[in-house]
Amino acid sequence: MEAVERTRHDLIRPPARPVLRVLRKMAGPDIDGYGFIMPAAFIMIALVVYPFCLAVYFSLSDAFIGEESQFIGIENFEYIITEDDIFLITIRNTLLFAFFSVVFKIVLGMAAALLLLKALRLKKFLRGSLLIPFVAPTALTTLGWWLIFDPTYSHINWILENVWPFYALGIGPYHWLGDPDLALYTCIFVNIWRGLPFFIITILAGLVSIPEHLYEAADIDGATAWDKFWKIAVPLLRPILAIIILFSTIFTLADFNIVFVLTRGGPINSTHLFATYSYVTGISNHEIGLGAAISLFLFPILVMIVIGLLRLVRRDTSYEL
Amino acid sequence: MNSSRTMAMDASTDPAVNEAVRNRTPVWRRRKTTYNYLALIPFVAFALFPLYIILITSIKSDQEIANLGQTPFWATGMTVDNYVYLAEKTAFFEDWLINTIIVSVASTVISVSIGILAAYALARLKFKGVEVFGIAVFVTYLVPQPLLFIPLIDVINFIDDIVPIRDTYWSLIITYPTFLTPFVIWLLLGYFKTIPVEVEECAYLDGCSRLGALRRVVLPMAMPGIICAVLFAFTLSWNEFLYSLVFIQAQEAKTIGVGVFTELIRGDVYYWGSLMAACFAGTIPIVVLYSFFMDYYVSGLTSGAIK
Amino acid sequence: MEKTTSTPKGGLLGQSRTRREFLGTSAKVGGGIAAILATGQAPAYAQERELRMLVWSHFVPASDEELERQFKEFGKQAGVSVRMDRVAHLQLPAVLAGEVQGQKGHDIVNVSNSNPHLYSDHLEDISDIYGEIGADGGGWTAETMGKGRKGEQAALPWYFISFPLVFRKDLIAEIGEKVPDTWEDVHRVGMKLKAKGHPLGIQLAHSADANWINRGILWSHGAKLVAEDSRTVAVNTPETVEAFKFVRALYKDCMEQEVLAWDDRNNNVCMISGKCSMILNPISAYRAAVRENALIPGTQNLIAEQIEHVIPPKGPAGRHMCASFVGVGIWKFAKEKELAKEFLKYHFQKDNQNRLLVASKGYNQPVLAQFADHPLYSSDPKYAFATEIGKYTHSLGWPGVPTAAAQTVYDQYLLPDTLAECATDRLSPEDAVAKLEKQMKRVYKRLNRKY
Repeated sequence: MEAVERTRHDLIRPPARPVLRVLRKMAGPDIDGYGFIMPAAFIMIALVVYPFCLAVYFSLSDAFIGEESQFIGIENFEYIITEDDIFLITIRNTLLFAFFSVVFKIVLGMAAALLLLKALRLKKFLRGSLLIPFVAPTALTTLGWWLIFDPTYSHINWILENVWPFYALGIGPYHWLGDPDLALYTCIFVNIWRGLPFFIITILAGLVSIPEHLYEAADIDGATAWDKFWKIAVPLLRPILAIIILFSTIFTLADFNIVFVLTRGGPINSTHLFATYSYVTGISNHEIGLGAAISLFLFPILVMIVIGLLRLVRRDTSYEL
Repeated sequence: MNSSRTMAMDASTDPAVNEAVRNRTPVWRRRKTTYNYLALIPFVAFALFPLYIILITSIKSDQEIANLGQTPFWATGMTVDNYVYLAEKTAFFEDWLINTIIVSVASTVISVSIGILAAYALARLKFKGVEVFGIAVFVTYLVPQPLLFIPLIDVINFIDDIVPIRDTYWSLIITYPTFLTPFVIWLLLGYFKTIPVEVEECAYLDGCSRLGALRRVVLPMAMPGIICAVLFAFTLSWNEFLYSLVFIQAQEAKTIGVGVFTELIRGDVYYWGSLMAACFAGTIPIVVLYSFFMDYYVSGLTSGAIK
Repeated sequence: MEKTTSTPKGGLLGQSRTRREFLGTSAKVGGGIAAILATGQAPAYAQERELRMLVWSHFVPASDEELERQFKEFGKQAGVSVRMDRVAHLQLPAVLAGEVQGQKGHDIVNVSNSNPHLYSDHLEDISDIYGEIGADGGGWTAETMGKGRKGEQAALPWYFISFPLVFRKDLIAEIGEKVPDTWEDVHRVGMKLKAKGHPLGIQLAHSADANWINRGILWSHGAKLVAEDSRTVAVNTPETVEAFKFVRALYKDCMEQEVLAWDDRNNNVCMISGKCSMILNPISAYRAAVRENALIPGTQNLIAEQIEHVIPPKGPAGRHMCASFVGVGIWKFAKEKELAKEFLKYHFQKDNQNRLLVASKGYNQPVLAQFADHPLYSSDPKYAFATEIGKYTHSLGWPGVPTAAAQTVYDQYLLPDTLAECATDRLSPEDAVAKLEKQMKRVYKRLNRKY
C-alpha cells in the first residue's frame, strides 16, 4: 500500500486551447467538469429541487389535500413540537431504533466477520448466504417477516409453545407486533436482519486489509488474542466503523418499508418513524402541510451529519500502514 | 498498492494456499476451526430463515396455512397451486415481472451512466462549485421520498401533457434516478479514488481526451465498482413501491411490488400462499443475479464505504 | 404496454362530439371493435376515447370480475375503450390524493363514506342521474350518502358493507349460552369463552373494522362523536366515558393483546383458524372459511358450518352499528364526464345491479329499495341478518351527515387510538375521551370553515 494518492491539483491535464485558459482562471482548471455533472444536476433540479421547494412551502402552509392552502408560517412546527405527542414518540423511536440497530449490527457484524475471516472453506456459500438479506427486496422479504410475526400464525410463538425447552420454561406467547412495548423492538430486529450483511462484509474487508506483520509483531511481544483484537484490530477499523455507523443511521432515519409493512406505525402509534409518520399524516390524514413539517424537521440535522460524513469520505482515510 | 480489489479479503482464492494452510494446521487448531464453523451456523440460519418461511408457505395449501394445529415449518401436502394462481389469475409473470425488469434495467442504466460522469468529476476534477455539487448530491439523498411524491406528481403531469407517460413504466424510469443517482455517485466516488492517477496521466500522454481516458482506462479498472453500483441500483429499483403505486394504476403497467400489494391483498382477506409465492418469485431473480457477481459486489461495496 | 403509451390523451376527436354522434359513427365500425375487444389487442387508432375507472380491489374477487364485464360491455356498446384499474383499499387514499393534487387521472372513481364531501370541490355534481336512478330503483335507502358540501350529490351510493356479529355456534352451545343479543351478553359470553381459549376479537388498531365497530359500540351506549348539526364535536359526555369503560372491560376480560396490532384481516384469520369465538365482520370471514376449506383444529370438520351471523348487539341506547357506505363518483377534471354518467346509468340498471350483488355473494348490500329483500339473502340462513341490518346501520358522522371532518377523524383513527390507550390503562377513560375531544376539535376547526 505504498502509493500515495495525489491530490487533485496534481493531475496532468490534456493540452488546452488559449480561449480555455481564461475560463479556467475563472472557474477552475477542469471546466469540462461542468459537462460531467450536468446530467446529474439536471435530474436533481428537475425532479428533486423543485418538488423539494414545494415540500418546504407545504410545511409552512396549512396544505390539505383537495383544498386551497394558505401560508401560516411555522405553525405546523409549533404544533408538532408542543402538542403532538405522537411526534415526540416518533423522535424517541427514531433514537431507540438508530441506537439499538447500530449497536447490534456492530457487535454481531464484528463477530461474524471474525468468524468468516477464519472460515476458508465454503467461503463463497457462507458469504453469499449472509449477504442475501441485504440484496433481497425489502418490501417482499418484510412480508415474510410479517407472516412470521403474525398475531395468529406467529412461527416464533409456535416454537415457544411446542419446542423443548421453551414450553417447559413457559415463556411466551408474545404479541410481537401487538404489544406497544415490544413492537418497536420487533421492527428493530427486522432492521438488524436486513442491515447486518453490510456491516459484516465491510468489517470483514477492513479486517482482511490489516497487515499480517502487525499481528506477528504483537505475537513476538507476547500479546493475547484479546489484546490483538482491542489494540490492533479495533483502532485500525475505527474509520470504517465511523462511516458505516453514519450510513446505517441515515438509512434508519429514512426507513419506511419495514415499519410500514409490519405495523403501519401501530399499535397505538408506538412504532412510527419519521418517514412513516409523515406519510400517514400527509397522505392518509390529508394534512400535507403537517406531514411536510414532520419529514423536514430532521432535515437540517441530517444535512449536518452528511456534510460531516462527506468530509470523512473525501478525506483520505489511509488507515493502511 | 492502494487498491481495494486486492484488499477485498482474497487471502485464500488460491487453492494451493488453502491446501498449504490445511496441511500445516495442527489437530487442535482444526478442532478450533470446527467450532468456528459451528459458530457461523446461527448467522446463516438467521439470514436465511425468512426466505425459508416464504418458500415453505408458498407451497402450502390455504387449508394448511390456516391450520394452527400443525407445524408451520414444514409443508405436508406440497402444492404448486399458489404459483399456478400467480400465473393464471394475476399478471405476475406476463406483466409485472417484465415491467419490473424493464424499469429496473432502464433506470439502472440511466443512473449509472449519469453517476459515472458525476462521480468522476467529483473524484478527479477541480472546478468552481464542485464542493457544493458534492454536498448537494448527498443532501438530495436525504430529501424524504415519502413526501416528495406529491409535488413530483406535478412534474410528471407536466411531462405527461407533452408525452403521455402516466400509467406507463416511463414515469418510473424518469423518477427512479432521483434516488438512485446520489447513491451510485457515492459508491463510484470511493471506487474512482482507489484508481491511481498515474494510469490516467499515461493515457493523456498517449493523446487521449478526458472522455477517452475515462472510457479506455478508468472504466475498465473501475469495473468491480461499476458492477456493484449496477447491482445496487437494480436492487433499489426492484424494491421501489411508493412511486409505482402513485404513478401507475393500469393493471398491465404494474410492477411486482405494487402488483403484489394490490392484487393479492384483498381487503380483509390475504392470499398468504400466493403472496408468499410472489415474494419468492420476486426475490429469486435478484439473488441469482447477484450470486454471479458477488465478488465484485462485495469489493465495490466495501471500497465505497472505506474510501 | 405499447397501447397505453400511444393512447392519445383526450382523444383525437376532442371533447366536442356528443356521445350520440359518436355512437352513430361507431356503429359502422362496431364489428371491427367487437373483434378488437374479443382479442384484447386494440390497435392505437381505435382508442380514440377511453373511459377509465378506479375502484378498490374488492374483498370478493368475483365482484370485480362482474363489474369489469359490465364496464367492457358498456365500452363495446358505446364504441369506446375502457379501462378498470384496481388498488388495495389501504392504498386508495394515496391514489385519490395523488389524482386530486395533479388534477389528472381516472374518470370514474370509488369515493366512499365521507370522501364525496371531502373531495366535493373536485367531484362532478351528479344530482341529475342520482334522481333518475333513485326513481327507477324504488328510492335510495342511504339518504345521507354521497352528499357534497353544497348539498349537491357528489357521488352515487353504491352499496354498503354491514357488520354483523359473527360467532361460532358450537362454542356458544358448549358453554350453554344463548346467542348474544346485547353488548352485556357479548361481555359475559366472551369472558367464559376466553377462559376456554376462544377470545373475542374486535380490533383496537389502525384498521377500518376498528373504526366501524367501535363507533357502533359508542352509539349503542348513547355516545355521539358529533352533534346533529355535523359541525359541533359532542364527544365529551358521561355516555362516552361509560362506553370507553365498557370497551376497556371487553378488552381486558374477553380479548387478547394482539387486537392492538390487528388489521382488517386478522379477525377473519382468528375466526378461520378456530381460535376466536366471536368477531364483528362482514361476511368475508365466512366466505374465506368456505373458500379455504378451513378445519376446526384437531378435527376434520369444516369451520364454515359452525360460523353464524346475527345483527349487531344492542346497548343501553339501542342497536346501532357503523358501516362503510361505498360510493362512486366522477371527477370534475375527468375527460369523459358524459360518458362516465352514461356508464353509471347503465350500471345502475336493475339487471346489472342484481348481477353485481349476486357476484359479490351478498357482500355488497343494496342501497336501492328495490333490492332490499333480495332473494339471495333468504336463500342461505347464514344471511338472514342482512335484510334487517340496514335499519341499524349508520354512516360516519351519524347522527349528522358524513362530512369531510368525519372522514378525517376516521382516517386518523382517533377513536381506535384513544380507545386503545384507555383499554391498556395508559389513559383513564375520562382522559382518553378528553384527548379524543381535543383532537377532534382541531380537525373540525380546520374543516368547518370550508362549509
